[in-house]
Amino acid sequence: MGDLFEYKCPCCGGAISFNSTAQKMKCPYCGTEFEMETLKAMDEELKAEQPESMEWDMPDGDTFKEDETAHMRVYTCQSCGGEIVGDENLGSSRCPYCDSTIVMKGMFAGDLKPDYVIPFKIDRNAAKEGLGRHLKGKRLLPKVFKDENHIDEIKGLYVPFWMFDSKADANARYDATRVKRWSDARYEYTETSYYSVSRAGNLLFENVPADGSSKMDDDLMESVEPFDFKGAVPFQTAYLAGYLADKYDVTAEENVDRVNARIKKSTEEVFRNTVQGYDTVNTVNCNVRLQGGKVKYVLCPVWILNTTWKGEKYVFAMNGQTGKFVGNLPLDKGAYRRWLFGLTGLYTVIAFLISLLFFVI
Amino acid sequence: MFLQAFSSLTAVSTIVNAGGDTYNIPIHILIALVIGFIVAFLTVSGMKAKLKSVEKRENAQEYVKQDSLRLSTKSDRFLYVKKDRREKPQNNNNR
Repeated sequence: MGDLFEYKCPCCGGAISFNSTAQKMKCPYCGTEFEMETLKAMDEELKAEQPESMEWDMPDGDTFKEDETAHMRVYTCQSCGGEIVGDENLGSSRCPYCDSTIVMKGMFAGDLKPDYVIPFKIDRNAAKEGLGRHLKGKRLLPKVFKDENHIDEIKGLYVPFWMFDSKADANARYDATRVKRWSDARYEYTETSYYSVSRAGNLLFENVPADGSSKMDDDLMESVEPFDFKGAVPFQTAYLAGYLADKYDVTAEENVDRVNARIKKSTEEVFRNTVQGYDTVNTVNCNVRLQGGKVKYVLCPVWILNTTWKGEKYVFAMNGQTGKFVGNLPLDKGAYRRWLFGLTGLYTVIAFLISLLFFVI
Repeated sequence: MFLQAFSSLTAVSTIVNAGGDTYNIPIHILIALVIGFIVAFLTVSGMKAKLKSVEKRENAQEYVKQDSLRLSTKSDRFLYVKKDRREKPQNNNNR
């Protein structure tokens, strides 16, 4: 007994039957004809599609040994309650997150030891200069913010990051069209050719970072990215001397959804870019499966600068490895209005003169 | 009242060039004002956007290993074609 096949029309979704006159598969609803082989191949592709799966091997990790933490102390913020790790001679006495006073809580002990640390390459002065450059050329920044803005303390902070490595397998299907247009004396013609496009394969992601500190704003940390992992070295407590370090309080598991979303989006973009030569492309589905996902615990260098202006707190961050500087700035509403009305007047005169010139010519 | 004043102004503030075309000054000032405001708004929005440098990252493009993409399936399958014919609008001036 032969297999009973039922195919659905890719055009309208109706059940297709074999048309003996046309010797082709024909949809009784929309009248579109298909080659039998085309439908069979499409059906096989659909059956081969695999569901999404995004699993990670979480780190067991080493913990600190007693002799490694002999000179390390835990400090706690009086205001936000944040815990910071520093050496016993810590110069800074203010919390890198809220700028309140921090006090020594006790010896640092136990806890998961970072796998790697990316040492600071940019020094304190460069961070200060970075702020100057960041404020330059911003016409809508309040002048007093520029002039009166005092950064009391610039803190070098090792921020805990989880870095995710994985191979992403994907299979994607797209509906695509090519459109041809021409006309004669009476009619305009449009010929639309419909294609089913399939892509499957894999690509590698390396060191996708995710902020492991709940006190550090995720968007701020994603904005100072990327960190170059080539500069990472196996972790040693000696690198922390003179800097603050935060302990992770957001686990790798808690970051998985954010990392998966970023990896999925990039995988979709990379696969989508392989579909070329069409007028329209519509993604039907793109399933991503991760293989051999591994996570590392890495401390990354960030210079943090806090300032308060008109009762509002502004936090700036500079990538301590690359020098990338980020931080939102306040808007001078008066300057905004002046520029808007001034430029409106200027452009109005220009537009009027141009229209007059065209009329005269 | 304003519209009435504007329409009486437009009636008198016109110039005529050598080809006999008329140029209505108030209407052209109004159009220039709208264009001027739109261009100024876009320019100032660009200045405002420069104040914001913190934003969520939606993808992980920088972390894709260079040349790591391997495609095991690459199929572009033709399904069907649809033709559409539309009559051109006819000029009825010849009646």
